[in-house]
Amino acid sequence: MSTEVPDWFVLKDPGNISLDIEVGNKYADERLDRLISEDLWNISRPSWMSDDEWNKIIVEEFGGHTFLKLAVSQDPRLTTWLIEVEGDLFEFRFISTSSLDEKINVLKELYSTENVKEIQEINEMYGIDIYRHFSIANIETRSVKYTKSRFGSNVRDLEKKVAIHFTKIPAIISARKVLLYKGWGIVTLADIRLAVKREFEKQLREVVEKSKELVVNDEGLKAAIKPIFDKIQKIAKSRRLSKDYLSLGIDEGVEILTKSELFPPCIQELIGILKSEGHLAHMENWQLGIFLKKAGMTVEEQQRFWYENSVDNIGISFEQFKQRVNYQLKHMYGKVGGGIDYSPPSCTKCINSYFCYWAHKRTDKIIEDMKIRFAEKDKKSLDAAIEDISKLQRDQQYKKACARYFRFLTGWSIKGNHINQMMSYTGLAYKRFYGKKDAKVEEEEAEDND
Amino acid sequence: MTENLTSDMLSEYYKKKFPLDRFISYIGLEDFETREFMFIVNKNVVRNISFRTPEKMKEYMYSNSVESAYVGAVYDKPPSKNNRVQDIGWKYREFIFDIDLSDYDAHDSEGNYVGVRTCGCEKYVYCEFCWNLALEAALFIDETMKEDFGFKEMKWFFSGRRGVHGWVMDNETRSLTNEQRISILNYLTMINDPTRSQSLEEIPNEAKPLRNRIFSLLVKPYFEYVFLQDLENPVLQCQNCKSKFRAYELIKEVTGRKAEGVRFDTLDKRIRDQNIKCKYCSGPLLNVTKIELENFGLTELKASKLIKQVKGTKVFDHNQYNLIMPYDWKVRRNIGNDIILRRYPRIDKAVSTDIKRVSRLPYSVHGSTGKIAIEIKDLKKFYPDSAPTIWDALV
Repeated sequence: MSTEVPDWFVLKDPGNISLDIEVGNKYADERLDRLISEDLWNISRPSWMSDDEWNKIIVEEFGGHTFLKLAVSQDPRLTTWLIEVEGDLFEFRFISTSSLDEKINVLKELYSTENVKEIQEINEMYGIDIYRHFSIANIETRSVKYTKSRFGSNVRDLEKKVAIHFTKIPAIISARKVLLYKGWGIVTLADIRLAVKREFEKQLREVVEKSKELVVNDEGLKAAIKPIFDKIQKIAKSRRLSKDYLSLGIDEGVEILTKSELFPPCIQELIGILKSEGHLAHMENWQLGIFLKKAGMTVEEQQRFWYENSVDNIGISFEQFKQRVNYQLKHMYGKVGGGIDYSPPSCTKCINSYFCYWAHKRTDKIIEDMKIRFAEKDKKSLDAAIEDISKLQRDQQYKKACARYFRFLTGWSIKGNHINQMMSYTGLAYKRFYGKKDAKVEEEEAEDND
Repeated sequence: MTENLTSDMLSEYYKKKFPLDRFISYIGLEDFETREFMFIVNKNVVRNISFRTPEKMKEYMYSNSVESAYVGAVYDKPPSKNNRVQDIGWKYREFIFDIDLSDYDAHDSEGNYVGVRTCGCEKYVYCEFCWNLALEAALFIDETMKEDFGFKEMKWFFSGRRGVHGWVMDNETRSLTNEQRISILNYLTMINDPTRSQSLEEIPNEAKPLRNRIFSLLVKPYFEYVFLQDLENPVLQCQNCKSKFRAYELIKEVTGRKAEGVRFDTLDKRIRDQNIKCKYCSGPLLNVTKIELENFGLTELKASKLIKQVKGTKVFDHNQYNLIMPYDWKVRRNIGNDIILRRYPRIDKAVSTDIKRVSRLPYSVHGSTGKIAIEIKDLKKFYPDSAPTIWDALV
């Protein structure tokens, strides 16, 4: 086993490890539980530990990781999930390891040795003293403080600087969070933390892609990892299903779009504009994104959704697109930034500063739309609805117009004025249209109608 | 094509005068077969074309009297009509910067000029005053590429009309990916929206070399060309018709008396006392320079002191920053933003990042001006009018 790269770095070659299928599944199971409980852990060898004991820990580590990798390789969504949680674990271990050498060795492993240098090496190469030349020092920058506040006291050496070749850190070069000297980006470990994590995730993805081929061609292996595969799938599914999502009676995230005719009219319109024109105004992006989140889409599904529909994707691969939008999408989900799990804006807010179908669309266009959409409905009730709606719209009673529209669509009266609430009505409508009405809801409806 | 530029001339130039060897020394002979070229022949664009040898290319150029010639990327197959560049694999392309004076122009929604060039030039027109912008940009990029990115050699070519092209000659730049090219351009770009609806990016703190370079290369010309000029001869604007005048010329025209060296207070008083009005519509005049200075947070005295200090220093060193710049952070930020807005290089991003783009072939003739896209040996001494034309070459 290589002595340079630390043993917690799961991408390294572990050397010869032999493992029973049963034991492997057990280790994978344990690792899975820890990853799910978001209990980030470190492995390091205390001085008193014997070789055998330490080797057992290593086998557990690599065995569990390998089995999980093989299991998720069958499903792209599970792959993404594993990469995300393993990425978090890697990030934690990277910033909390006590040895600076370990950190640098990991960087060398990720970016290859010739692309990573210590500041001392740069000084010798060019015969200068970087610190004096640019009057810089290893001080606690904002990003160091931020990382410390996020990860607690485990954070080590993050104010130290390393030099990485500029071709390896394009995102950091773009943001100018770097001191560039002769092609070497001199950065603090705190500034490079996320870039390193992303690089790890990218390389892990490649490894998982490779193991996919391995599993496909080997029935025995497939059978061996079946128990752990089933378990991950079950967990991932249950985690993805939010309450709102379940109320729709739909259990596949992307399927949400196949029933988009049940979305509130503003959202339908935004999806229509996005599909036909390829982009929305900033606030409208936000409105739609948050709604889709509430409707049960995962970050990954939203990435796919925006990639397929927006024009920003032209000329770039899905991976590049993801990197570009990842922050915004994760922000909506409260996974980065302030960590707020945002709710969709209220109708009043939509009318005033976002997009409201009734407030921002011309009456004649709305009537046209309705006539096409409800061509099969009873003409008399359609005319009545159109008359009511255009009158309400003229009087700027947008919420009431929306409620009238919904009554016409489903036959139920609507209470409340929030897209969140609209969601649950949408769920009810879904059940009515697609025959998934359950007895309890039917009873409630009967009471409502009375 | 200009009237005087005939196809015979072009043919003769490419046959007898075109320095083929020198051109090959820039792009190298390896992979010549699979490199794309683009030509304008009889006002038609010919793309997806490649040649087996440089001589064949020269032959094509003189037998077709090409009006403009461009060189593109290298692909895994020779580009042709059947193997269009969209369909074949890309191998590499030189890393090229394009600086064009017209990138410094901008117009508002009413069509008024709101660009950086204050000399009155626009579009294709240039003068020695605004050419400095292109020059500074080239010097800035040259130094950034060498000092920050560690590239060893950069060559600059005249674009034939009103700009320059910078080629990074190091071989490793050829295989830079799109992402890496974009990152370099992002590092360099501070103005993302030339129409100025977005705010400028602030001078970065971490990127110290870039920040120091802004001070060492751009601050002196900024104070000399932008700041100083207005202060020495303030600008007056009519409040009715919005036409602008230089104060001294207007006063001399109206009163027949000299006004040089007059302070703002005296100037305002004189305009008021002598009832000087707009010469087109007789509207009241406003001292724009004074307002601009106030927006910076500076007084006239402080501003002239600042200029005097900068003028006194031969090379503006970033170490002198604290000595020269006012201590008020608001003033510093305003001046910093203004420096970026008015003097910072504006690069045509697409030329550098689009890996399949073609670029003017060095030493080819610009079809509209007849000028030759020569290599610029000394950037500081170069001025477009001094570039040789096809007529010079054929004499």
